[in-house]
Amino acid sequence: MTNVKRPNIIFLSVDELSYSALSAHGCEDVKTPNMDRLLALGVDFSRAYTTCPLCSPARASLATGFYPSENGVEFNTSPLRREYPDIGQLMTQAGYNAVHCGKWHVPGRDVRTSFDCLYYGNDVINACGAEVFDSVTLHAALAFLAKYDSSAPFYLQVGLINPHDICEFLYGFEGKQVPDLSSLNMDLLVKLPSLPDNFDAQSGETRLMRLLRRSPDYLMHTGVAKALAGWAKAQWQVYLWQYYRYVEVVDAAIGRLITALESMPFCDNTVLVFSSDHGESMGGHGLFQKLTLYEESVHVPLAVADYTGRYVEKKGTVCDRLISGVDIFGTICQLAGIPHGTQAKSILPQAGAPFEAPREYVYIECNHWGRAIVDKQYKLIVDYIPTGNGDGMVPRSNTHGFGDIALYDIQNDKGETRDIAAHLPARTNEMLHRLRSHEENMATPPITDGRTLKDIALWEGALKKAYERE
Amino acid sequence: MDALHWSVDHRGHHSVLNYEQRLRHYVSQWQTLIDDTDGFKGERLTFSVLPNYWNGYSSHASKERHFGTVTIARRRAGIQCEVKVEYHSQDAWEITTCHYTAAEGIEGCFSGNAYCGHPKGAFAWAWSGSVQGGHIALEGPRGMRLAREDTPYGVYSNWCLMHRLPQGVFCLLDGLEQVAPQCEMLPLDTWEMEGTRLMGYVLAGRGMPMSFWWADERRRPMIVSHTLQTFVLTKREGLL
Repeated sequence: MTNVKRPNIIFLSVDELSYSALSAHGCEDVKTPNMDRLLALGVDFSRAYTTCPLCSPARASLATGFYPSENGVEFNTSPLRREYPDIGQLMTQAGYNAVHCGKWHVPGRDVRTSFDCLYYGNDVINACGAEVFDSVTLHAALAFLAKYDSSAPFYLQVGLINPHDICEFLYGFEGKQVPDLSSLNMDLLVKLPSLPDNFDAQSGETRLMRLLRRSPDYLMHTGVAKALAGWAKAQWQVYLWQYYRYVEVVDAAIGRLITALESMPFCDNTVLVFSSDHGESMGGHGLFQKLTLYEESVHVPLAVADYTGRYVEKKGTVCDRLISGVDIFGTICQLAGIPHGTQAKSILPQAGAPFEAPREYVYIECNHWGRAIVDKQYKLIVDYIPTGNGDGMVPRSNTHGFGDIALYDIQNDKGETRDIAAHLPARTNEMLHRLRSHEENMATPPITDGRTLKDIALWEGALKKAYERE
Repeated sequence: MDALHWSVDHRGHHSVLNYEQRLRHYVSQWQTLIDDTDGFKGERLTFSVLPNYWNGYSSHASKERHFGTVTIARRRAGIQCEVKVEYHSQDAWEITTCHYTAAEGIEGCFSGNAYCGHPKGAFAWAWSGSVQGGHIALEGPRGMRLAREDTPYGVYSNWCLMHRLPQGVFCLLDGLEQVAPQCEMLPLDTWEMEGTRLMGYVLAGRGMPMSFWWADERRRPMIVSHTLQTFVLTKREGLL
């Protein structure tokens, strides 16, 4: 342990916020002055990716520094393996006052056993409910900051749920005839946002992604998908408009939190890390919600606002290092001086030491069989083909065959509109090689949890059919 | 039986099973409401809060869940009213009370208290603020600043709107805490429910997701449906 005073750390997470949905990131249809301010207070990491575009798997990675297929949380119902310590336990062991409020959503690990829990809903906050829970979560966090007077540093984890309420807004279209909301003349007040340029793009979409979001074999959100199938483009614009309003609601909440923090005497010894568990499709590729490996779903905002002045040399910097969701865990551990022994890297320099070597790529999982490798220029998306033998094994490149493979040049084709795998076989193979190498270094424990096996069986049947059919 | 308007119809996959039954029960009692409180020193409105969805909030969520109750008491004081709001949110396990002064919109000082009495983590929170000449200021305890905002528009809280819907563009101080700088009530539709003719509006604007407001001919809200919660007027009382 160095003599440097350990900082207070706040990890502020939101839910379903895409990187591109901030005004600081060029979105002209939304006003996010407070998140923009956070980015300007430290480093705006412009290439941060979730480990999985689904709440619980992404959050379990943030909490443990391990990928979903390692820690066991591959679906929203899969429990975290007991042997993986979480950030609350580690921070408490390191002498931090580790406190949590709001959404946690890591199944199998009661947040109240790992943290001093300030607020966690009535029963338990599960997936959603921003309109009900976020203001109380914020009250709890503000009350904590207002009375904090311990000499020990704190680790405050605040889980706000918005803009996730867009999912419930969409559920409102299930099973009933809702008229075209664009006829409500909302453009009297605000111009409806344009649809993204990649609204119609489906080039190279893998069968798993089609199954998750588009196919008639669809296993979740079917009511929403059916309702949206008849939408005119203007209705997609209304959905986007509404999404941006949820973003603005959570932005205002963040504004109160950071304004409050800045008026507290301990602020100058505080580092605030801000990110989202995953993104939102926002009509990209004609899709809604998440669960795809497209940029809208996996590329998230990440900021480290350094009020101490010890970790960030120049405030307002944009850093294009590739960052995985597990690295947020690594960074928080490093700030607290906790060794963790995971693949997570810190994204900040150690005191008096250089940055850890940047990642050459990030690795992303999706719904057990989906994988993506993202490097500076390209993204590879690949399905594993189910074996169908129900062996309860995580698919890895040394045990499972590849199904559909797509390659996108995300530097020059940000909307992922053109699959170029067939045109660049050498590059595609290089990316597949990275996938193999990465997985060779991962833990692959057998899956024994009954709920997870049930989910796998459900999806496996549908995915097998999709591969047999075409 | 009158059909539910789509904007308040939450009977789909994710709704509580008895949502419609309870909504209709409350609406059927509108006939017993006193029509106006002009002869009183004030009025007290009570809204029941129905959950639009249950699935996903909690693995233990009850389909019979009741979200809570809001009472808004307005007592005349000169040309203005002193307003006291109590919101018992059973699902969030928080009781919020607010005080403010308003003619139509808010002007002057206001305060709010929130108490979460959950047995596994109780806490209390309090804030105060003011609206003066279009400047909104919010503060917490120990000199904690929360927000500063200037607006060219009149400032209303969502609780003001429950009394009577404003016209034109306004700034919404939602829950007396959250600033939505530019909002408007846009006409939606008309609908008749249990003999009451209702005019529908959409509240929309910067910082405010759309919600649906059904008011009587005097622009007094009877049903308000947000993304997750539907408020139904259940009582209107005159205050002596």
